[in-house]
Amino acid sequence: MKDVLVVGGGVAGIQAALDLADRGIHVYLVEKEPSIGGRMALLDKTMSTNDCSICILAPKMNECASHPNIDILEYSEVESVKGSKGNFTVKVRRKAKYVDPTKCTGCGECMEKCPTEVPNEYNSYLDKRKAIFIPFPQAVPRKATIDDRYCLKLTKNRCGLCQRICKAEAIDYNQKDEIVELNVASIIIAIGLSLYNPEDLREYGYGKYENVHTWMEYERLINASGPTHGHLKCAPDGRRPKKIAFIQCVGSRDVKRCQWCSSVCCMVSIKSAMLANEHYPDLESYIFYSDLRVFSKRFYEYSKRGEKDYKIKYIHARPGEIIEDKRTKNLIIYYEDEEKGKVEELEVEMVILATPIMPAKDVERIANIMGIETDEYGFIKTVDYLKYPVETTKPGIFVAGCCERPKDITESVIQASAAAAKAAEVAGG
Amino acid sequence: MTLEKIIDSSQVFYCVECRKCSSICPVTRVYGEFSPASFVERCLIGFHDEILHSMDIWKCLECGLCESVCPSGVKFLDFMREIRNMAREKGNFGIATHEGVFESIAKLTTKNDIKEGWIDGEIDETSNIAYFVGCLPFFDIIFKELEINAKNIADSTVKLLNKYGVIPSIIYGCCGHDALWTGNKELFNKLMEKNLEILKKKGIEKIIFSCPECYRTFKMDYPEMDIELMHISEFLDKNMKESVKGENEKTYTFHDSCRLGRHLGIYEEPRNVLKKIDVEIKEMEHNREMALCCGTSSWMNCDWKSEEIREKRLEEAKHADVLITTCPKCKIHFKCTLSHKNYNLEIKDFVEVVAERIK
Repeated sequence: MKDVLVVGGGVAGIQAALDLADRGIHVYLVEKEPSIGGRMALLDKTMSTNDCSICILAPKMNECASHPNIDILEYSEVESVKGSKGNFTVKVRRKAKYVDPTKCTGCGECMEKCPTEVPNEYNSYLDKRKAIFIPFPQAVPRKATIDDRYCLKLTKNRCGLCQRICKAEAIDYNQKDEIVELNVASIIIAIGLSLYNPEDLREYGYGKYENVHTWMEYERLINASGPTHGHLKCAPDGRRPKKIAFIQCVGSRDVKRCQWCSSVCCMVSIKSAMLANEHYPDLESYIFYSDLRVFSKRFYEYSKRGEKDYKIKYIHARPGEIIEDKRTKNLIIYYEDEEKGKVEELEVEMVILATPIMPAKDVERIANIMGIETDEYGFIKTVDYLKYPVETTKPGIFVAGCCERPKDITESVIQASAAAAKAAEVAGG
Repeated sequence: MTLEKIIDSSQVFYCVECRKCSSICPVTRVYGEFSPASFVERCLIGFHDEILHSMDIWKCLECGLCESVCPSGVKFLDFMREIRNMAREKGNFGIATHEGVFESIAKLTTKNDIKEGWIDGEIDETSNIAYFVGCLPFFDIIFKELEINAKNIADSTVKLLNKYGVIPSIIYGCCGHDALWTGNKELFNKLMEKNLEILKKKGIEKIIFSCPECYRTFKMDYPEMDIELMHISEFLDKNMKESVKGENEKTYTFHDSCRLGRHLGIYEEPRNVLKKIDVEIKEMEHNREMALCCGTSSWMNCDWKSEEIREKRLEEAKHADVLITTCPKCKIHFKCTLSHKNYNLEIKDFVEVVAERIK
């Protein structure tokens, strides 16, 4: 039995790795971030059950870490792939973390003392993290990493505080990137997604109005481990909102931007509105939709429950513009009421934009390295959507999760298991 | 052309009825019952006769806000223009402003050459670089009481061209913009043919425009020609290498005209030039792609509702002493409102501001 490589440690990559490992196949799980978990680790709750996202994922992340058949190569990137189905030689760059993982205890003291604050990508850039960091509390592996773009010691040869205070003596500023060579029978690509930046839809004022957020920012705002510890706060005075609005299809189903339906946003917004109401029972939400695409089992009922129990109002319209009240920072939404045929104004305190799922940022790079094709939108192409839904255009390389097309967690897991089964076939498991 | 063909060519059937257009349309905001989305809807349902006889079709400003936010790529401007053309054939002419004098002028300019020698500055009628002046000379006559000073716009343009090494030949007359947008294709074609003939006769290789409407018409509505077309702001942005210091006791703001902005996508060039001459712009709430229209276009349908649109724009400019625009018609419309409303605001053309600072 040969080994398998899984690229990307989000929920799809994790599921594929666990499936393969449980069959007795040895798996290398390559993740570019310092922790596995991906997007799902950053979500607050999952739809349609409103379960805690990290509570479902964390046990799987830990299982990966402790599984005898899984090697996690975190903070690593695939550099080259040679060979063919059954016999691939893969070079992986293990980026220097400047921390000895065998010594680091994950105590986090270095993070507290580090003087350098940098934008925190794990909280959608809403707050700051330190130059030495553990991405989020449930990180796997829970070890510190030094960001060499910002660290004073590494950029200017100053400071050195983390090394002085680390009781485990884990800091090693001289660490270098390492190239490891792997031999695998098959590869699963699960590199995930990126999200559309809605700044170019100037009518909605994202980036200009403080109380306009994307849905991913909102996930962090409503999350207990996020920058506001789960409290919704509005500029300018930090008051909590009583009225919020969600705008669907911001950048998606748009001929000038992303033409596809992002498929999860309708449910995400309903879920988000429910959560807001759970936090503050007097809070009302408005969801501006193009078509409410609640297409799967129990989804429609979920949307109705939102209306009945969580003070959600659905409005069929794409608003034309949002204007900010300069004094209160409240947002006035202009939309045309379908029945009245009249332009209405709705004043809310916070607006959340449902921005679409796009191909992962480095999808082209990965596709080139792997020698596989992408589709007209930049997602990874499968040979045949109906007959071969996990086969990429190169034999022996399979795909799972949102890098193939936008999908929810359930579908990502299903596809991951399917890809794992196919990859196992090649590996002889 | 039939309405079915218009629907087809302007991709109106792509409409998903999200009504985003209507909720941003400046005309819908003030008129209420007018709405791009319901237009499209009625057209698709088949109320063709009703639409062609409706006065609503003349309310549209063709400002292009609806198109710029449309997620479906409906070409509403083309749609409206073609509908107007059809409506005109059915005897629906709309209400022209200023008793239709501008259409008469346009008709006259198809035949007569006018106003040679109106502009001060160095001019060379044999030059293969032309400055297309458009209708500017008429504005000074018709809007005398508004003190538009259109001559100063033309003079400033020539002064700036001279300063940066161009001695242009001058082409006067109407480009046909308003004829085209009011559905008068016959007149438009006549004007276009006349202009193309002049270009050919003079052997023109490059045309500079100060008026965004002329520029749009030449660039987008005339057949493709082997002639370089340029707005004066593009010319200056390219040729001005130096920075000029100036006294900044006044606050300036910049009004993007619909034609130069959304129609042609030129936002930064005039701003770059203004920066070079040390004019600091304090932007209005709606700027660049989101800029609001001055309220009237193609000399059609000006009433107190248009005035309301105009006032909305002027309210946004309240923080400034001077509003700079590139379009002479915006200047006229704003100045008209200023003549009977109390705003402490000066309206200036872009070239006037630049020429004042450049010695």
